[in-house]
Amino acid sequence: MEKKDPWAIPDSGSDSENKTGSGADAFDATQWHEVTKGETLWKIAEQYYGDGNLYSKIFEANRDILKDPNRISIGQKLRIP
Amino acid sequence: MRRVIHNFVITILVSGLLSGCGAGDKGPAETALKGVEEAVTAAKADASKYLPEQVGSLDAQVAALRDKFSKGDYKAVLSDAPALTAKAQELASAAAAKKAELTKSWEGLSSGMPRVVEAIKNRVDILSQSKKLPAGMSSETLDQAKAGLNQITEQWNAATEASKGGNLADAVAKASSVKVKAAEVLTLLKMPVPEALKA
Repeated sequence: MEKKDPWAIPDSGSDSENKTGSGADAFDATQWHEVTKGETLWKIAEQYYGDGNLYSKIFEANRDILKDPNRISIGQKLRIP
Repeated sequence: MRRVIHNFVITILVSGLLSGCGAGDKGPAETALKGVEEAVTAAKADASKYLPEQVGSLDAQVAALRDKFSKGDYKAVLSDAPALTAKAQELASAAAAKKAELTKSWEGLSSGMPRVVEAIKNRVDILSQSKKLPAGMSSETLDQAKAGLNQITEQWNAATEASKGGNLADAVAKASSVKVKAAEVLTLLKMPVPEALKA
């Protein structure tokens, strides 16, 4: 699945909303990840969870800005649950 | 004989004069003592919870004042009472300030910490489903994080119970230990430590 890289990020043309991730809340424990070129939800899940199969956890936590797990954009700030 | 009678008359006059003065001060001294006791009772309502270490000293001073009263040293009672009343009022003010400070601390902790604990719980749940842990994290580390989460949950429940029981000082103390443990677990899980947990 990863070999096909189905969630490759387009080089340009992002229509996503950006999350700042800079909460003023002193108790905010949210972890944010800013998407860079070539990343996929699978790769991000591997980075944080060690297992790309868990990409859906990240997708579900970001449904407000992600419509499709195959489409993430450079510069998007994703919540990592 | 005349000398004996003279001495007797003098003794009667002096003792009458002294007892007259004492009786005159007894009422005001009793009122002053009551005033002190009322002020101390009012102060102790909050002070015994928030500044218990200062209550003992005040109690000792009130006991000394009662002792003076019972020994008939009314002038000393009248002399000491105003300062002791003022001390009781200062203690009441200090206890009210401490209560306000603890209330504010608890409000912040009780609204913030559950979200921190929830974030930890979510990550532990996800990592528990992972077939392979992320780089730099061993299964022992995850086990430590799980044990830490259990401790956090227990300590947080104890803090909440203390708060419900009206013991804010205990609740804040327990919640502070939850903060320390939560920061440790977040670090184990390679998650950011919120500002409120860094102090």
